[in-house]
Amino acid sequence: MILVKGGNVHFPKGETKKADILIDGDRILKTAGEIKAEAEVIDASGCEVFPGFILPATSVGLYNYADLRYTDSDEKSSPVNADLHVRYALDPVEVRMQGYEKHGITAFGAVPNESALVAGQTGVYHTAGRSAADMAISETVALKVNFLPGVKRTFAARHMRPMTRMGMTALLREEFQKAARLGSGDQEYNPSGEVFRKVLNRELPLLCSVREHFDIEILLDLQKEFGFRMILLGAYQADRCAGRIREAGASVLLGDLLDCSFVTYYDSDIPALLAMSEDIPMAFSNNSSGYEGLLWSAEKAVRNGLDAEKAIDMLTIETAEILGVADKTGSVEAGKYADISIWSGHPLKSYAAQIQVCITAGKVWRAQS
Amino acid sequence: MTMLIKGSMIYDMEGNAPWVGDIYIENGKIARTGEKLDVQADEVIEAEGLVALPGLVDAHSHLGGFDMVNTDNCDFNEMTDPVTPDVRALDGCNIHDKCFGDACKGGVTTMCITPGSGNAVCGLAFIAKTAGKADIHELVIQNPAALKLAFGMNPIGQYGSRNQMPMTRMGVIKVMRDTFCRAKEYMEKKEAAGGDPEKMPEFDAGMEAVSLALSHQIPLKIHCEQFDMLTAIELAKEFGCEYTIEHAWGSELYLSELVEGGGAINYGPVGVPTGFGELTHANIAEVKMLEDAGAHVSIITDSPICMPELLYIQAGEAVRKGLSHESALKMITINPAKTLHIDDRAGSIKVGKDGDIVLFDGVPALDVAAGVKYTIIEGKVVYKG
Repeated sequence: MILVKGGNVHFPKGETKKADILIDGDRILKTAGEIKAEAEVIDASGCEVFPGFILPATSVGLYNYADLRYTDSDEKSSPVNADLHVRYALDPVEVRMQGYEKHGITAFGAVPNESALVAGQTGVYHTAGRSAADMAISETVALKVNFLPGVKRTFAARHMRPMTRMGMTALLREEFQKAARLGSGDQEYNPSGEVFRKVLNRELPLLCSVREHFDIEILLDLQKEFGFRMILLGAYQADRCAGRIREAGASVLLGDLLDCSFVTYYDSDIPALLAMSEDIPMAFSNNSSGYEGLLWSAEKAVRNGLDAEKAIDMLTIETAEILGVADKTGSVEAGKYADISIWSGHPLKSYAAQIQVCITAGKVWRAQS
Repeated sequence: MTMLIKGSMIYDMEGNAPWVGDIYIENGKIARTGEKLDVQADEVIEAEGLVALPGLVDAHSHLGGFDMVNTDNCDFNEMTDPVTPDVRALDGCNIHDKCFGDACKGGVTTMCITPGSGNAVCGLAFIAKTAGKADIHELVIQNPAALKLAFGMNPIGQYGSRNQMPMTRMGVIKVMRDTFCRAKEYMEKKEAAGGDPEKMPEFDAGMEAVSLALSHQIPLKIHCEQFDMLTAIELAKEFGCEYTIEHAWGSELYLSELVEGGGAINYGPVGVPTGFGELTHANIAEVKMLEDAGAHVSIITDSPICMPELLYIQAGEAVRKGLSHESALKMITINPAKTLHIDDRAGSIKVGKDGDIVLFDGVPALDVAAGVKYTIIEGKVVYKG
């Protein structure tokens, strides 16, 4: 057992208090003002203690950096790949190489990349472990759709559908219409249809990578038609249709706020995007950059006036809720995974704050002094 | 035109402890600094509670040449030949690109803007202010300012797929060395001609461009990481060129060689995922290791690959990794100004230098919430937050 002692612990919705955390194996056993137990003690006095941060959607881990010509992140042999699952491409060594613990990131959503219209199913994993199964927090998280110009380019080059927004929308609509016709009785083998049926039944949300206002609206139209659960990823102009997003019950994983191309060329209104977080589930994300990028987005939000504790929620509990894993991680709470980071100060307030310890499912990493 | 910036906490980057005072700018230049200056000005900025820094300097940017959304507007890699020394970034730099607004928002007032790294010999970089005039030529401080070279995967990836040299690191250095040797011959022929047009070699724009570096008029600006940095130093030494090491991931492996080589280090950007080879060592902690070893270090962004404001964010990130706050601020102001040889105009708040000032609502690279409230270039407000 491990006892994290005397830290200032950050709980959801801005609640902070001095508390001890008792860890048994990979789980939090108990948190209380003071705990006495036979355990290895990690002295957190004078430190700020946070739930592990969650990187909600990244293809890092699936890239196959050894030879990017044969990346495992981007099956684009056909536009619709609903029955593919990231677990078979997830390289634990590539994940470990990133050093996510250096920024307190203990979990991530592994998502396929951006060339196919329907890219495959995503899972949420710990950032440490030997295999996908070992790292899995939940492997039934979402079906990833890319509603992006890159999809059109990919298939236009092959003279096949979709090379337009009409084509992308028609393909998605057809999948839903077919899935709606699938009965529960004996059916022909149709693994892709089964996945779409789960989406239609609201068992599995659609994680939609999308940037422009217009594209978000097209997806909202489809959502209205078929009633699926929707997570928007990127969504650099989401504030322009905030009302409709709210109405659809959708949530938003904000794209990288330091990405010049998108933030700038889509004229992102960052204060307006952040204002949506008052009544729409929202979190920070970062698709394909290093471990620093996630915190940089949160820091930028703070510079744009977001409360630092709210920003912490958008790195932890809100991310977990959006991805459907809040029962397992995202806050310091008995029964959840022991996913914790300990800092010398508040990383969203001061650059002098340095990470001391990161605990990922009970595995302890210490910063070198 | 005169401007008075009153009562800010001044980090002058001249070695003084931060002090509260006024900055008076006249005709674009800093004319006076001091406590409670008794002077009238056309424009007064009440800056009590704000923090003043010299305009930030980014020694490595591609702003205006890479529109990442519209690839038709990517004009900084002339990848038709691995050797294109005569192409000039200034000719492909779109001052109307929205990203220049980001530079002002990020407090970056001076940039060295360079061609991309798709070729082994990429072309000529220039140094300019980021705003204040409509014509980019009026913003230019120096053009050309450096000859850009690129080692590693960028040229190899381009030409390797065409079965054209350079397909390997062996090929990259050969292409560069051959180019430099031919330029040397070209210069010798010109010299031998003694002004006689009959004896002059046939005009070669590429050779003319390389000559600028070989005759020490401009430095080499060398994109390289890891052990490619050693090759870069070898090349620069062989031809007696001034050089800067750009990106410099993996510096911790070669600290002594980098210091001994004498070239300035322009480090960054970080925030890239870790892979193999070149992608193994992007680590902002290396700026501290370099500084401790005695190198002259600046932090760079590679904008618009990242936003220009990443300059001060990375400075903060370096503080998080143990760099002193003072050094972090130097690495985005006076250090790059010195590296670019423009410290007579930029890099610190000093009488006689350009009136380029950034006012933050907190201490940048220390307070996460500190953002840019005013960016002033040559006494003119170019951004107000």
